[in-house]
Amino acid sequence: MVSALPSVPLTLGAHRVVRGIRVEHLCGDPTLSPESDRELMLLIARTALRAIKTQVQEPTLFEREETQAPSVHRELVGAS
Amino acid sequence: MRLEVGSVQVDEIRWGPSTRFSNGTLTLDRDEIEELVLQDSQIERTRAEIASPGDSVRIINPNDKIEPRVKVAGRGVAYPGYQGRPTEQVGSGRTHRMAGLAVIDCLDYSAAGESQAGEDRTWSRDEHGTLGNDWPEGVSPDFIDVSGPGAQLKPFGTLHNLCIVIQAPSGVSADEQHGVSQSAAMRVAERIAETVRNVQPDYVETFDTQPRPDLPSVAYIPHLASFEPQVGPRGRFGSAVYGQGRLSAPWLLESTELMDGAVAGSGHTWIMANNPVVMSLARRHGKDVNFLGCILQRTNWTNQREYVLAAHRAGVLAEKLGAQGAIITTDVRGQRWVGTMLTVQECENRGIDVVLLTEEEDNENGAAPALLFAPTELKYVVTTGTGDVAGGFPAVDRVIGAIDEPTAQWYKAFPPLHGRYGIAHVADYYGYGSQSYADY
Amino acid sequence: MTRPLKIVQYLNQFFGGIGGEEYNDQPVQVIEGPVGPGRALANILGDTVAVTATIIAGDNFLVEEQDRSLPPVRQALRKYQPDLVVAGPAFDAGRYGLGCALICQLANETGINAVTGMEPDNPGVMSQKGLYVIPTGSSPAEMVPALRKMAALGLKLARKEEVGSAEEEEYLPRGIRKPFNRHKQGAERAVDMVLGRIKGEPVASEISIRQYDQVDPPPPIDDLSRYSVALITTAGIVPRGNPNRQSTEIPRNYFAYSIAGVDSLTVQNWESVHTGFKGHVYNTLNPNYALPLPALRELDRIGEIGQLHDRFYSVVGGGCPVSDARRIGRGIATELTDADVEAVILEST
Repeated sequence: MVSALPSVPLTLGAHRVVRGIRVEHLCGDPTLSPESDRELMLLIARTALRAIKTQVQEPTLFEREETQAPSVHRELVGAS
Repeated sequence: MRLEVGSVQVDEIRWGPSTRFSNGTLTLDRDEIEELVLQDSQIERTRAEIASPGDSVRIINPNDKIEPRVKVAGRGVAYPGYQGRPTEQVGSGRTHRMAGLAVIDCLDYSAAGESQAGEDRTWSRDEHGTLGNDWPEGVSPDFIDVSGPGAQLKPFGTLHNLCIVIQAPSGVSADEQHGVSQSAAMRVAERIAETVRNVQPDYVETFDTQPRPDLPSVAYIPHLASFEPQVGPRGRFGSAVYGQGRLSAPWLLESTELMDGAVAGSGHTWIMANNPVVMSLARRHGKDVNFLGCILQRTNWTNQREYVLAAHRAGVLAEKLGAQGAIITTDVRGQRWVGTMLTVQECENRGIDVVLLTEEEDNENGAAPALLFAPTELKYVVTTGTGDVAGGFPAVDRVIGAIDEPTAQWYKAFPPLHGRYGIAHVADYYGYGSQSYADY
Repeated sequence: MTRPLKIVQYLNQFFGGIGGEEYNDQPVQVIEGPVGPGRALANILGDTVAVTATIIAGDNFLVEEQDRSLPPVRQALRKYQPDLVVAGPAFDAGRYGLGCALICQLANETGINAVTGMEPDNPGVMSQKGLYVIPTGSSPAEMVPALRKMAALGLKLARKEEVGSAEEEEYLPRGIRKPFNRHKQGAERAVDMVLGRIKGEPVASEISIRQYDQVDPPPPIDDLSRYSVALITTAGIVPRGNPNRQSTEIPRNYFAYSIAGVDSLTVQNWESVHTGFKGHVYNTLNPNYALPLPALRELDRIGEIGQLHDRFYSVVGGGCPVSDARRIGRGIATELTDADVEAVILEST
């Protein structure tokens, strides 16, 4: 799932969480140029596909990045 | 800082030929009050009404609630910054408050259409759905009964209430409608507070914020919703600190500043000036606690990193103040809970003992946790229940809060209310009452 | 004068006087009157209450061979018609605890109130829902104080009197929360609690923190190009005008809308009815921020996914009863499974 507040789904036990931009524009950013905005949305969608393709054992946050390795962040609210 | 708060008890409120206060009785010139409201040319129609405890009255469409307060000595004005008032620092000198009284603006939208397509549907097109099979259609849980079992649970059911019913101006944004309404209520409250400027209070409490590091040191961290994401940085919605409603790093305020109304708006003006946590800590300051002050945390950030940053800054402030403990409150749930939990974590991780004071979620007879989510650091909670009312609401003779006659539904008896999920009635975010929930 | 209250007690083979561990496969037997700890219980309860029968079974037999062990227990309960079943106490004995919980659950199912006692960590505590369990220590040396507490609560249950909170009646929380007046302002309680914590005094939280049920992560899908992917949004995206009258604040239902042949959502045709945040951006600039349809069309076109499911699902994300959330989630999952959708991207605002 894509979330702007990943600590919530991660704490609740969602397994594959992708960081979105903001609550009010989750999958894009209206302050960017239309071209960059389109690229950003595509990157978020691609990150979601990468998450679906990745084996996870526990709630895992997937950051947008070009590398294919999932980055596991625990900035949260103790996902226990 | 040192503040004397003189409480003038209002025992009776009635209409009369002139506005004055004498021997516990507040007499109000109805025409004067209504003209004061109509000073704003955007307000076409208004009506002033009175509701006292025990009356068979229901107040509907309540917006803000204000306790009339006036600075009689010291800097600044009561409710500084609120709706354009001066922003000089308050919290010292002497303030008179009218205990047992609230001014409530009831904002009636029925004549106003949607203001601006799309943007304002937060406030204009809400479809609450039904409150349950036993509840009539078209009523919302946000009303105030001043008699019956529900009256004891909110402060306003036990107060004399001067209600200013205002027809929401049409053709302007919801934000502006609220600003107009709250400004009018503040004009009225200010006028009424003038009647006790020179009155000898029934009792005077003196609050001195001089540190007492020999006693356990506690900070208070309320989370106050900002509506900046909805209405922009200068919107008039939401809780304001010296009039500032915007999202910001946490503010550090003395307890006496809150007593002078430094936090206002969002329907919480009365309760923030009388905040039970602030008052309890301030009254016990120097006796068994060293009350360090209030770290006002803003919430409604719209992504995680901002929430994390805000939590860190509150933690830095609390630690720098020397807090050994902190009481944390949160004024609404939903995504604001994220910020609240991050502040809890941040404080605990810095060795500050946290107690969270909050309403809880509906446990659904054992099927659901009592909190939206909880990090492992959260261990100590005081709960004010789910916002439900067990006793139900008897039928009433009079309904206040609509410019024209309200629908017949509003006069009816309502059954007991099972709390939470948008149907909370009590909304006790600051530990005003003794109602709670327990494990069974 | 009312008739004396009748109690049936359950004991395992050890406390029932049959023997130790080697007798844990003993079948169920029913003995008239109190046995062992039952005599102490009878003494505590006095004349108005009678322990009319004792059910005894081996720990393993009762728990592991329920087809054979439970019918005679049911039969005994029918025969003696007790006002209360007392099971144990089991202290730290795990299988005995499970047995006590089982007997209490059986009694409750037949409309008979029951009470048991065991150490809070005993697996029996969590094995059944809604049981009245008095916390005990680990050792049978505490038999009499444990029985006293069980008797006090048991009498209320036997008389069908209202039972107070877990804290008042000293039983373990059953996961149920109810209104409770603490007769002291919440703020004062918070100050007391924080001072107690600072001073290192024992303080009791008014909510014991509990987590949601967890599910196992579904396995990854290596090659998405062979599968159908669906979109779900919690932003309450609906056709402009909200034809189904989707709720705006509290999630009550989900709706599916066709996006067949649609490459991008437009503000002319779609809107967000979610009230909880600024719908302005979705409603005036770009609803695709809440449902990244153009990106998925692109990924479909270049073959990174098999196909995009031609209906998306829309709910309003907000606080709602867990039971409603479960119903909504289950409904969407069932429809998607029936449509052979293998993967979902959920946009959660």
